[in-house]
Amino acid sequence: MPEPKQVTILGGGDESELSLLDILDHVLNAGVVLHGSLVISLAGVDLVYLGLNVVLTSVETALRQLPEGSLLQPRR
Amino acid sequence: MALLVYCVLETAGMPLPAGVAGAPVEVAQVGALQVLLSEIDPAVLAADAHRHALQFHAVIAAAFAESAVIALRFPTMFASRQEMAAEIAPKAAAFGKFLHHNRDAVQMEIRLSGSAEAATEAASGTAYLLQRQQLSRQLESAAAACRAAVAAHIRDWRQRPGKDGPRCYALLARDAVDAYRATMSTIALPAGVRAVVSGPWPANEFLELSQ
Repeated sequence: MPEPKQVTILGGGDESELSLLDILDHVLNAGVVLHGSLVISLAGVDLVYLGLNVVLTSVETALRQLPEGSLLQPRR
Repeated sequence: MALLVYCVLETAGMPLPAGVAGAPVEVAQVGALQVLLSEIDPAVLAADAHRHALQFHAVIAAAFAESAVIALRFPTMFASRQEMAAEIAPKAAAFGKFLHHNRDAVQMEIRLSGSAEAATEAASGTAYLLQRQQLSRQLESAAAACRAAVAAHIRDWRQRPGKDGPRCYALLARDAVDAYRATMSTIALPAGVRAVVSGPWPANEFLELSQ
């Protein structure tokens, strides 16, 4: 069996599931947080907070639901 | 309706895709800076959050393809433009300085971890801890090797602990990305270490708001 590649380069036209995970990771974790802006409530329900929970727990679902070839990549 | 804010940039003249949930992307002026935003019903946003997170990324990626941006975390929302301006205005000087200095800069990332192939079942608790300690040293050594290898291409470097190993962030000129990738693709890492290189991303890790 060949040695697995030690270095994987993503974002150079390499559309893989891992890069989708990277994108979700960035969108959810790497953006700048402006104090007090992350949760918005409607009628006492933290809707966006609920939405975030959905994102954080359903990356696999997202991968299954996205149509093939719809992967969003940061453009160079 | 509420305002979903994507990113802050110097000038937003580039073509942009539709925003989250198909909402138009608007440009708002806050001091000398511009802000990309959409008017969104928060209930719509929460209904299909993972897809909306990717649409959020698509707007930022389109802006970032043409300009330095400060990407905001999904979902950054405000009840009104006044509230949004009040939050961003005190940071506008720091944002503006950062965007000006990093106009042509991007961020590349390296995620280091122990490879699954190298993981072996430890015979005891002590053996497990020793194995973890050895892996931690290998990962630190790999991070240092990566930094040394790409030193000629980068302007700055940050390193933070991650869940599976160090995360390394390199700040470099947009036109140095190909050389950076080429160098990283040939780097020799310690046995049992895996590296995932991604980017270019907005240079958020290098923004220091305390300045």
